[in-house]
Amino acid sequence: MIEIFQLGFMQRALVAGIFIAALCALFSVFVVLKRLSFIGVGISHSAFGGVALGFLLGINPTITAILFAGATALLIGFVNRQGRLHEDTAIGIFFALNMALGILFIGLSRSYNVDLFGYLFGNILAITRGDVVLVLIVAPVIFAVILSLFKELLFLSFDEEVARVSGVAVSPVYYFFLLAMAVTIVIAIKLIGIVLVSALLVIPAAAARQFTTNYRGLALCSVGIGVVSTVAGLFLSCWLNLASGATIVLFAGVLFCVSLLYVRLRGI
Amino acid sequence: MSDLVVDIKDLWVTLNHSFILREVSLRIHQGVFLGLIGPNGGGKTTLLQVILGLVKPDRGQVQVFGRPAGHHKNRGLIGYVPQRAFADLAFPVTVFDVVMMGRYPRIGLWHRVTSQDRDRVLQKLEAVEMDHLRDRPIGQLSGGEQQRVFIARALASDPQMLVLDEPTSGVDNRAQGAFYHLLGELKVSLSLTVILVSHDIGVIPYHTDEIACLNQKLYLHGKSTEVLSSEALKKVYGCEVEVLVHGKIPHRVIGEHHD
Ligand SMILES: Nc1ncnc2c1ncn2[C@@H]1O[C@H](COP(=O)(O)OP(=O)(O)OP(=O)(O)O)[C@@H](O)[C@H]1O
Ligand SMILES: [Mg+2]
Repeated sequence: MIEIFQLGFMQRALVAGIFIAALCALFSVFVVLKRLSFIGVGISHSAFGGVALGFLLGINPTITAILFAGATALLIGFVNRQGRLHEDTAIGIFFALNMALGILFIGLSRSYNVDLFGYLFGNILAITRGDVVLVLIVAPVIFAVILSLFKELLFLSFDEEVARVSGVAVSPVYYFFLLAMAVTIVIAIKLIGIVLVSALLVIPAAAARQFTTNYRGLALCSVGIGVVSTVAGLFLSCWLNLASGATIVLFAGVLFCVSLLYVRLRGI
Repeated sequence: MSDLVVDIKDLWVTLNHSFILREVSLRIHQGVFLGLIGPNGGGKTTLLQVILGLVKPDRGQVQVFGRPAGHHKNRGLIGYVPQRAFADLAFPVTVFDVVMMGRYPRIGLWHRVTSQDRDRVLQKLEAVEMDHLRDRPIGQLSGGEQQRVFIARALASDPQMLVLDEPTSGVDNRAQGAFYHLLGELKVSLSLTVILVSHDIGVIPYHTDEIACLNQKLYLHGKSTEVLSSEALKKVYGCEVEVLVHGKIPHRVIGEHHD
């Protein structure tokens, strides 16, 4: 059992995983409070278009993925700000467009690319030392900024109009939030995979919400659930030789079911 | 005049190519309790949003505290209780947290909550007699209790003006009486200017200093007592269902507005 953690790739996956999970779980608090459950799906799948373009052009796919995901996040925000459509409509549109682009790019590159599956479903063996360094630099910075904007984000999630009257820069904060989430999703893709990463942006806070009625408790508990799921999922996937992303998500799902049971038994 | 809090000159607002407000001119002096009445869709909420800087006028000038509406220096000078009922009952914040949000203009970006902010928030909760429920989740309050909390939130930045959009809808008669009493007290003790939108045209005149009636245009603005004794108003209040037709939209008319 101990030997697993002595493997180089496992150490890298664990370090990157803990940081990524904590960050995703922090975002999940606002994803759940603002009812944006599908925004992770929309942004991560738009990263697919970027990844495919990276392969086609021979550029580092992480860079193209960040461009695609970032642009899509801002577009989703813009459509919502404009006031005629809700986020879910924008997500539904850009999600499909980016997948279509990705499929076109793959067709154009005419080569069967195994790495692509790593991006789609996550592959901890593919996490390089450089990826870990990237996570170690980017994740703490985003985490700190989101924490320092916590009261603004909470206020605008609760009552946007009054927040605006009180002088909260609602639009800049919201756009920044979306962009930071896009970057987070892209750095999480290698570990969890495009298809499943959105689960880490919903399940932790959804489960934590069952245990607490206070936003501080919610944030703490959510980060805890995210990190525990990732560590346990990684360990189980390695031990039982299962896909890492899927195991992590399923473990989080089990915790969510436990949280539902807990509420039923406690009667709260 | 220096004690002019709101000075609106010839305000026009169009939304989606239709007129919402036309040639509205309105002056509100410091310490005045103004009741704003008018039919549904008359533009009352829109007028408040213009004063708050949330809606931009198409024409005309809107000065609030001597500055253009929405000016950043007006932040914290205006406390706002919006019209729509509170939607997300599951939101994980306590009564105290909600009132603390109203303190935001005094805290600001990147700054942390100080013990002074906490004291002020507690003080506002005491003012609306809700301090005993400060640790309750906001969703576990009755409608009237929530309304009190939102008033405390509006007061939390120590504003000089309160803007309340139908704050008593869904509040029972006894609580309404207590509510108006509370507003009157707050108005005197904090020397607040108050703008209150309401459909309770039966009680509004007894609690306000001035009344304005809005239906696209401002039809009447004057002292509540004078408005009360005016013949036109008697028509409206004497017989609540009396509706006069004026232009295309039927509405209650109290008389032409004179400056
Ligand atoms: N975003 C918008 N676009 C177009 N028209 C709008 C918009 N918002 C409001 N209106 C219209 O503006 C008019 C005034 O609306 P407003 O909410 O100010 O009325 P109100 O006097 O507050 O009504 P109520 O008593 O029902 O609260 C209404 O006819 C409404 O249909
Ligand atoms: Mg209204």
